[in-house]
Amino acid sequence: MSAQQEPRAPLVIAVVGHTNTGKTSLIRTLLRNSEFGQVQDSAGTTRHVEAAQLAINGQAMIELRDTPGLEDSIALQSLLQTLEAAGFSGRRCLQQLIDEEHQHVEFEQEIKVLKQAMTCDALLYVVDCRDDVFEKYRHEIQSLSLASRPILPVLNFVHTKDSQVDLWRDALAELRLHALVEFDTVAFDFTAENRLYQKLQTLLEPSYDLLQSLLEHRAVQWQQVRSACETEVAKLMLNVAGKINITDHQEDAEKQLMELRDFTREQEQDCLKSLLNILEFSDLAVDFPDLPVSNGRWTIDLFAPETLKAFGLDTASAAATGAAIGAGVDLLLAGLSLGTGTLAGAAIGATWQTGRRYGRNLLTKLKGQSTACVDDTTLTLLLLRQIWLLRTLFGRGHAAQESLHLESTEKMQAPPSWPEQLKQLHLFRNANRSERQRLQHKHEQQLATWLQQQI
Amino acid sequence: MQGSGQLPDGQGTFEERLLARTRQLKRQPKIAKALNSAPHLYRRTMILVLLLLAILGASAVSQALAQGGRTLNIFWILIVLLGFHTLSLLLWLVFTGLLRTSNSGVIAPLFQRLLQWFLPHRKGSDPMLEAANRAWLETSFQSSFESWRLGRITHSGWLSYLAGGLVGMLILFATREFDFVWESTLLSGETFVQLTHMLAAPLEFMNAPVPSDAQILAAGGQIVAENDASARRAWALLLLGCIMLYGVAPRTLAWLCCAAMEKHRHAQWQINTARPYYLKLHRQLWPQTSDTAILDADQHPTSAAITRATKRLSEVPANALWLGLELNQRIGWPTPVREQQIIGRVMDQASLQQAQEQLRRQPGPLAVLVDANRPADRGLIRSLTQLVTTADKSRCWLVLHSEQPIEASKLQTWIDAAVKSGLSPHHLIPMADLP
Repeated sequence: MSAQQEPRAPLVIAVVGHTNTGKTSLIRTLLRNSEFGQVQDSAGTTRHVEAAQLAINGQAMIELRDTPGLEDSIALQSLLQTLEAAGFSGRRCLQQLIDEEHQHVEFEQEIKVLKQAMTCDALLYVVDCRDDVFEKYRHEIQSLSLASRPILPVLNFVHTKDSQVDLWRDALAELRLHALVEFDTVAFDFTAENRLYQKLQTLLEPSYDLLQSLLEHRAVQWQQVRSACETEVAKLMLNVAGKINITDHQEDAEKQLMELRDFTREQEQDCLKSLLNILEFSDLAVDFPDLPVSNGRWTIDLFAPETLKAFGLDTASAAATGAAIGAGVDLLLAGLSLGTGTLAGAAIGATWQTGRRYGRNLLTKLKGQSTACVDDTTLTLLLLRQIWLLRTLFGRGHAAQESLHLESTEKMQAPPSWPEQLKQLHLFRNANRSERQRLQHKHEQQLATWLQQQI
Repeated sequence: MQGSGQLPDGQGTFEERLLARTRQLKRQPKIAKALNSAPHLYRRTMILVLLLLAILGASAVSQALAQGGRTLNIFWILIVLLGFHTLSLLLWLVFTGLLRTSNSGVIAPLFQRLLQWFLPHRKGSDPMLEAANRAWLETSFQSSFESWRLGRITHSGWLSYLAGGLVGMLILFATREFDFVWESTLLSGETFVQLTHMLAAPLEFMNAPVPSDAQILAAGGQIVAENDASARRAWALLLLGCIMLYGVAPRTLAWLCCAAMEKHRHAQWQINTARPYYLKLHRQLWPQTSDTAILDADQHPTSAAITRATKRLSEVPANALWLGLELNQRIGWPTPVREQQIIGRVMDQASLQQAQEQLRRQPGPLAVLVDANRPADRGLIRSLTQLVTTADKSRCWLVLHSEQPIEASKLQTWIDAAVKSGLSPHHLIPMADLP
């Protein structure tokens, strides 16, 4: 891709539109940056022309320019008409207006926008599609089109109940704008963002490759971000499921439960922080009601089929390896005690493996200690909350301003394949420390992949 | 930025940049020292262990050869030297060949545990050293090539042992004289002849001298013959050849196979750049978005609104004419308003002029209905001003439509708009407050 090798100036996209339609919000969502510019539900919040660049591997690809909102296009249009009557047409007409800007102080904002329209490569015209198509909107488009730059209408607020997408489609078609994008800046949709760049690709043929590499890069990035989030959640589940609390006195059950609860909540908060960090919602407030944690007694059912299945082969191979080691010992000791070493090795191997696994359990039993861990209900609840969180965050635009509030988990249903995963978590819990080190990565990946299918 | 690598901005892939950054970090003496400690220790330990094994191999041979005095039982020595080696090699083959799926045997965790003990890992001693050791352990025994690496280590151990044995045997054969015999209670001489030929077949193929039938039978004491020098030489060479052929050669092959597989897997192994840590690093090394820059600043910042809403003093007269300004079609009129009172909706210049004309023809109180949730922009204020001046501004009201209660900040923008268009702020009425 030639666009990637030789450094070139970024594609300049001016984001324009009527006041209060969500121009700054669109840029926030495209940049994944909730701190760009100022957003407010009133006219004329943005009064500067502000720019930020989207980069791939350190190279700026697109410069997005935020402009003040157009407010009085009807008056602007009549002004432009007088200029046209004076013999100026198209870009020359706009240029004339810009040159005379000191005579038209009341159009300061509009002239700022027109200046950007003249110098950019393409315009994104943001529309609040809850509105009727008023004459002033038509005038805005007509004035902007004098700059002879491709205009791509972006229909914002498409997911609200009052949206009038069809009305706007027809009106824009009348103005010969047939390519448009439905893009809700608050409810993020990765395919909608892709479509936006794809439409720009058709409008800006010379920059096709540049936009293509941007598209591909964004896709890879989105995938990475998602899987990083899923890994974080998988890690959380493993940490919580694997937590075993041992105390010497049976009476301390209450304290034990408290500790377990604090641990779980702390883990959940840490995971949340890291998710927000990965998704770049650093200052988003999430309102999570406290997770109810209940205590489960930790015991290993030695004869549970899955335990046997998972460890049966293991023990056999341990015996075999033990035998091999024993045989090696026989040999190294001049090798004249054929058999005994091998047999002893096999026995030691098998017992060691079993002892390693169940030793802790037996030991705590012998000492009269009590062990506690988080029970399955809590784990399921934790999972439901995390699935809800991931779904919500993945579908949230960086322009969204309201804080998150967890709905009741009562209506949520654990996926049908969850019991299978729960078994895996039990296996992880039953593993001892050195085994966990080995299993952690594998289980984490497996759980993350499973989560990916659920979201 | 710290360690953005030697690569200039915008060059190379993320992995390349990451490597460049790593190389740069590795130049720091403290990091380099910490990173080298574990591999150094491992290398030294390996050399020590291999030497020890070689000595063990040599001593095992010398013990085995010393047992029978001058006479050596050929097949017994072969079993002692190669039996367990063959057994373990077969076991390894079975494990790697058949049980690829379960690589959680005993050796791997045992080995890891050993290494963990071995590496200096006292808590709180040196966090960097500890981290470096853990990193080394994790990357050297990555699950994708761990089994091959362990295989290579065991094979080198066996190779060292066999080599030690071979050298020991060579020295003993070179400096002492042995008589070679075979003994059996069950088997006949024929069997031994066949067995020897089977064992010696590859050696014969390579034109190495092997014991003749007569020499074999002689060694069993079945033909009384002088155990002459040539027979001894043939037997010694057969023994050495067997160790080479059945001991050293297959071990070397297995070692090569493991080394190749390890290298292959190692080359295949990639950093999982989707891990949260790398994602953060990626953003640090390559910010996705630039800082915001103001290109065209606002020259006339607006002063804060001065008009405050006060108590409403007037109400819309019941006979007022009603007009919608930039009102969406879905918004209806207030219920007490009769159809005759409605002038219409001002949507564009044409409808504005129409409304103005009607107001001139039919003067009277006027209520302008607007959607409080839409912005009070300059275009709207201009239209409102025109309407207010056409009607009598003392008999003109602005009614705000909103389904929810209107926020204070929004109400303020409408108060400002009303004042700008010449209306008294007392003539601003939220629709909810209408009778």
